[in-house]
Amino acid sequence: MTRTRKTKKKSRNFRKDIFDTLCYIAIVVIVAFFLFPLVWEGLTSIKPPPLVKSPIPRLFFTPSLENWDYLIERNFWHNFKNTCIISLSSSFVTLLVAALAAYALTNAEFKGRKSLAIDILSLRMLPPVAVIIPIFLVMKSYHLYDTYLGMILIYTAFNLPFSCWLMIGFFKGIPVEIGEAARVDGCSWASVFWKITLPLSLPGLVTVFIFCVLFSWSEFLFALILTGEKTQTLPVAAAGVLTHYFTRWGGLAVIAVFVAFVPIVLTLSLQRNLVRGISLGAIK
Amino acid sequence: MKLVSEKNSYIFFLLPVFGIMALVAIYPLCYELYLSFRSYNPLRPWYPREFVGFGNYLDALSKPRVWYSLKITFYFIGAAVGIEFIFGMGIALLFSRELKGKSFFRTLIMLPLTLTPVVVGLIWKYLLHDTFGVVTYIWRHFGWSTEWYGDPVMALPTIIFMDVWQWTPFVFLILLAGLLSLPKEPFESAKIDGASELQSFWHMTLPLLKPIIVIAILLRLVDAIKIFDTIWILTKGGPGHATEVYNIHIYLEGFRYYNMGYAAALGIILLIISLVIAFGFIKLVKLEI
Repeated sequence: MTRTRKTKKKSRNFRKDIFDTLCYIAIVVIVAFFLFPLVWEGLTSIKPPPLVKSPIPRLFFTPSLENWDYLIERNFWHNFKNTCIISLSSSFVTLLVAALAAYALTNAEFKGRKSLAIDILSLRMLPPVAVIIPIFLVMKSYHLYDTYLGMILIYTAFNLPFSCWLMIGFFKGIPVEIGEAARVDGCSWASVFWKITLPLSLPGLVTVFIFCVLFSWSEFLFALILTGEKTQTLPVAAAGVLTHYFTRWGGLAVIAVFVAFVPIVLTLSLQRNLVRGISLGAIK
Repeated sequence: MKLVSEKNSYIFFLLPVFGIMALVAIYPLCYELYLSFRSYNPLRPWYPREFVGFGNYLDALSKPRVWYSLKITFYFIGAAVGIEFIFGMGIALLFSRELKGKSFFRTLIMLPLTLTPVVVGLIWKYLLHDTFGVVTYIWRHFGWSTEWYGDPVMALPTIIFMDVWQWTPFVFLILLAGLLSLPKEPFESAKIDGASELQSFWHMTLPLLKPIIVIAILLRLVDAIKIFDTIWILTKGGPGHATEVYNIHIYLEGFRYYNMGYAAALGIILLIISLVIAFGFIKLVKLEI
């Protein structure tokens, strides 16, 4: 009796082992599918230039940094600086404006509070292409074309709906009792915001900030139509590599790696809040 | 005396957001509406900015090129989001089991999602190049010879493939979070009652997961409508008009031919389409505040 049960258990374990192994094989294949292009592009960036365009792809080669000269040659540092200025400052402005609005939308009592929050979110749904024509013309006529201010304004507006929405989620996580206690002790409604809500939701604020930086780092369309020589951002400069009659594929790999680096690091730092962010706070 | 009572001071908190939105969203939208009823082409300054009524709209709706671009846009959205959902669901189910080193693999799969779309375009442009692309090379090894984005028939499937590569991790992450948040008890009792894995997936996992599935698909729909960057890098709408989705069409009309009035009308049409979808989203999700 005990024996049969044991063999039964054994065979079940055996089946489970086989199944687990199959799962692992499947996972490795899936990971390879998603990772291979990245790895290959990374390898290409350190390939000696003649091998980059060899019709038989080479997996083994002596690494060389020759392609990386391209960064200096095309002055990508300039674009890097532009992207940093634009994405960091617009993210700061977004954070401040969104925090103010989210505080009012979670804590103040007024008519239409709920529908206002939804209206703000619905702006996130609008495709940017639908408004590029008027935005371009308006920016031109107010002399904001190819200026940092114009880009910062656009990216702030672009990130606001999403940031507000996430921030509402974070603010709601703070127990109301804390704010009420402070109010009883004589704190004004506004100072509860500065002294209690903001400090308590700091991790949430950092998450929102990183998301804003990520979006403005990667944004392409507005940068394409609104930036010229002076404020051209990295994605536009990267796309510009292709328009040359003679594309430097090694240099292209370098710029791809260069642009991809920051978002990868930032996203890895988000880990815990990533799903919440990408699902607009629908999943906590 | 205070101008605004303490009770109403929330107005000051909302002012900045209204200010920026009015300046960067509302005002341009009104301007676009105004422009869409006019003919305006900055390349022809002698041509007056005259009122043409619904001329631009009628023009747009009578052009086969517009209908074609709408058709391939919906084809793209349907195919990409559909494949991403099936694929993402499969991977999420795989990851919902107890496996060692799961979170490490999850992080690796996540990486494409984080990439700048322009970079995704650049990467695939190199990998799928028809003379020295490594994927083309491997493909040829199997005896299949294909040109990818250079071929009118293959260009759109290539774009769909690229979208699937980048955004399946997105669907996967959301569905996985949903799967892991499901209660365990009903599944255990179903197992005791002799339900097979397939049965419990069909009759329990799917219904329980429905709200999350709806969120994942709608978020993808909303973002898929916005596609521009990757197509711009890979094909710029070509070869011919093979990948000229609606967004690319608007851009070309506006910034290549400078038919600003006409492009504004196209933009308003896009707004209407996406508003319908956005309202659907809000109705369905009913997110609480």
